[in-house]
Amino acid sequence: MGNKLKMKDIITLAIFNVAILVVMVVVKMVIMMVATPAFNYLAYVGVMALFCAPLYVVMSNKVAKTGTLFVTALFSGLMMLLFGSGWFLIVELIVGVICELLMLGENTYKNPIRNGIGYIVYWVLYAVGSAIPLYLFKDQYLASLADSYTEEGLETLVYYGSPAMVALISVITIVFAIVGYLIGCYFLKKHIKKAKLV
Amino acid sequence: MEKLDIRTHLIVLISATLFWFVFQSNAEIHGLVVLCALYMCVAGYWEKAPGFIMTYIIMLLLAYLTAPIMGIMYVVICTFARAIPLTMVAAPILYANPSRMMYSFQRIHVPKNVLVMLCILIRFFPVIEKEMLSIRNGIRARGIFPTWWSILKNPIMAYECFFVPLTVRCLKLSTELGASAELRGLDSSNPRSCIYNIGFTYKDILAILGFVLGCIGVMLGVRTWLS
Repeated sequence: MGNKLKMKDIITLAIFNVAILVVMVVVKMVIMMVATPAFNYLAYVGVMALFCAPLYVVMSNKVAKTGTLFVTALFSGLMMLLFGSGWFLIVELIVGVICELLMLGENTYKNPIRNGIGYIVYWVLYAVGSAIPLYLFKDQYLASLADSYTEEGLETLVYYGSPAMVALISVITIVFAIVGYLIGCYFLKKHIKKAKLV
Repeated sequence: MEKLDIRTHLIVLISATLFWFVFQSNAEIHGLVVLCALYMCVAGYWEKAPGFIMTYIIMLLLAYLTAPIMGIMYVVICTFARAIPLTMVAAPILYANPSRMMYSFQRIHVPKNVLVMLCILIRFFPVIEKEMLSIRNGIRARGIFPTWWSILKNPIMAYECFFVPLTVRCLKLSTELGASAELRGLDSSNPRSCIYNIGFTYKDILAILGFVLGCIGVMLGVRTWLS
């Protein structure tokens, strides 16, 4: 079996990634509206990782070819482009390449540990990548948000973009991603493999 | 009226995104919304433009009304409102015929795999929304979570009840769509043909020029007015 993506793999990746994007948008909206700003900044990427895990685990086991994580990253970047954060597409492309380098080798997506590591690294880099404009072009970034953020909102954004906070966000993301990945593996074994769908 | 080429929509979308980055004040974004609405009318989607403008106005009003009560709501609503102009210029691509789109993008040498992904990305959002609604209705019909707060009583079960059917539906849809795509020859290495007349005309060039010049005008006008 070749490791190159075929048309049916492309279609599977696209469909699952659309579902992942919908889940991400819903999670982000609910957290922004219901949770406190602290929880929003510290845990929203982690909660996304928790909720997207079952879809990712099934998708990666079904396709199991090089490019799975890159396509996931590409779709997230395209969605953020539509929300006006075009810089995030570049971040996601880099994240996708790093994750694919991590997944180099034979049947890595079928290996639960390697696949889990890839998934966790993807989400940690996603969290870290969200803070990149605060380090690379802080003044322009804050100026572009000045009209859509309150003074207090901007201060909170800068506070949660500090290196210590980014480290804390990464730790929280790792914990949520591990829990989500384990639940995803459990669903895969309990429901999907039993029904012989993968 | 003959609709504009899809490559024109793509160029305008890229231009709008670039200007969107440069625009900083709300007044510039208001101007961009007006320009995008005009572009939608020129592109033949005049009946869709008022809906977007109304949504933008309502979101801005809600943002200003909620700002004194809840700062975070202002941020949330403003973030979504600022995405509306980009959605407006993306709309002609979203509403376009997939056959036209694939043929048009093939002529600018977009790889086939990327094209298929783009088509599914564009077409599949309403399908997933529908699937999610039917899963929710199925849960309600079986009396598992009769009210929304019963989800809070058993969140793990709610997670399983929602994500397992969603995953299975995605698997089934991907299998069916994959088989259908192969049957239709989507995997073929031959170049794709199309029954539609596709080509760049003077209207496309005028639309692109008009949009870019309009954006420059908005930027210069607002900045001169603000200074």
